[in-house]
Amino acid sequence: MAENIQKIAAEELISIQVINSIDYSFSTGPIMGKWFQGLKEKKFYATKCPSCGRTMTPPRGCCALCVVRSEDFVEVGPKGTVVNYDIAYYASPDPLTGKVRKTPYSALFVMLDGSARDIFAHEIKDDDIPKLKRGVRVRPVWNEVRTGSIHDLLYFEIDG
Amino acid sequence: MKRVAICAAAQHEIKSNIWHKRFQDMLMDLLEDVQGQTGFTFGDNGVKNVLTCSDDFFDARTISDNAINDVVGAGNYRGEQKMAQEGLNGIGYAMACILSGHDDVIYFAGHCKESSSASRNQISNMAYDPFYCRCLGLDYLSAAGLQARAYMEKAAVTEEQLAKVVVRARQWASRNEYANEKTQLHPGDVMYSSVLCDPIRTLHAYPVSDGAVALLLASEEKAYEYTDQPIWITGFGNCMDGYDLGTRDLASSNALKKAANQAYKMAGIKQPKKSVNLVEVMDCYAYQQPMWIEGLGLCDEREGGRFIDEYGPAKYNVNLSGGMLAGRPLMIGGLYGAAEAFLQLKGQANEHQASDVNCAVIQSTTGGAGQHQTVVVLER
Ligand SMILES: [Zn+2]
Repeated sequence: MAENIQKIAAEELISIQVINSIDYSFSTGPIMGKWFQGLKEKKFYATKCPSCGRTMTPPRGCCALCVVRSEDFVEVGPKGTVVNYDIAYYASPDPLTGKVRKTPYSALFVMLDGSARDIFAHEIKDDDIPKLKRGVRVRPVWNEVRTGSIHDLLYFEIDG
Repeated sequence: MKRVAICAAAQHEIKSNIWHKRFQDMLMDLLEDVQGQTGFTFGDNGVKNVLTCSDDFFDARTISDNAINDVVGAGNYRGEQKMAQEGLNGIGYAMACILSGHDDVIYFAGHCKESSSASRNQISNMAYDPFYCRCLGLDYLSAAGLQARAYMEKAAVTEEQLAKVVVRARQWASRNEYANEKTQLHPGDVMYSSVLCDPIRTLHAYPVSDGAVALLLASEEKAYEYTDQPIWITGFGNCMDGYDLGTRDLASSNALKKAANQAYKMAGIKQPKKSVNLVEVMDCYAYQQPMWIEGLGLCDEREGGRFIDEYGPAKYNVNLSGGMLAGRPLMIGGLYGAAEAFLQLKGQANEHQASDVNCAVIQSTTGGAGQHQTVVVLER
């Protein structure tokens, strides 16, 4: 009896596969616009809070801590120091493609030279993952073709 | 009963595509505007709790409020709640925060950029279930088309009357510095504009709009720290109608009648026709202006068309801002109405100022064909 109910349920309770797709265009605004322009030129621009002096990379137009407008730019990096990282070994779906992502891969927190109380999050070159440690010096590796997007920066690699 | 005040309102200029700013940039401008008006600060002696209004689909990110915490002052260990319905509901939420004693001052900011998506119809299509109505392509426009036909037949509303509504909206918009679409029209322009979703014509529909609004709300005790002319929120009500269009009586705004009655009761208004002297309705489509006016009890059932012909909009100062028909973004159409009524009650509406306004009613709606209805009463 119970088996029969389960069978009927399985036949009736189907699921439907749907891909929801909407085209968007997002404004970068002048602050993020400056950041992307910088990447094109292999430069990192941060904003500096006029109140507490911390830098923000990528730049934000408002310091979250002081709640004041922050539109003064400073150039930071391009080299920096690893302050935190994680390494993913589990082959989970890549949120960008839905396909299984090659492992291992890392998420990296870099304190770019000249920045203050700030981190910049990116990735480390796959080959450098075994050498990753807090305090290690890294440098950016740039895409040869740069269009003013986050992909202008490929990843960081260990400096030295 | 204790009262809650609106101490300040800031409106971002509405445009069909604010391509040069992120919504964060727009909200930063409003924050500085409201701080400039009131001198409010964040922290123990100021705002400890923040309210926002935004939509995940318009912003194309889940938990859309997370992205704006910095520019509303919530990014540094403060309370924050998001209103995921039309922003006028946030006024009710802020009232609850204050009247419960939980807070004495609330900063509230809402934003919506309709231009981000290729089509806002794709966004409102996502409001429907993924198995049935979404697959059939139902969106807020086609839902409104069904309602327009049902209501126009019931109340015998004519094309001429709808044209009057749109022409008048543009006339008032031209006096409102924040309004989006100010191109002046003749009735014939409206009546012979191309059909968008029969019986809705292109010029019956509100233009695609980007904008943002911010308010500072406070308890009666605290309000005078921020302004010497607070505007009082005396009534609030909201009411939900059915999700399935087939469940509803599309030709009647029953949810609005209930929401309005709640708000009037709270405000002690027994005869709205006599007490109300300024109205902001969220007329996304021209037929909605007379329909929501009926729902607000400012004219009798089926009399919406006659209300237009007999100068009801002038008598009740309906949408002196230009309203939705001159362009306001969907999620904050009513919140803009509240900011407009605030200016009118203070006598600060400049070129579009009404005379002798002391009781304003603002209506807004979320969902297809006016599914969810909200009403706020503001008084001087
Ligand atoms: Zn700061």
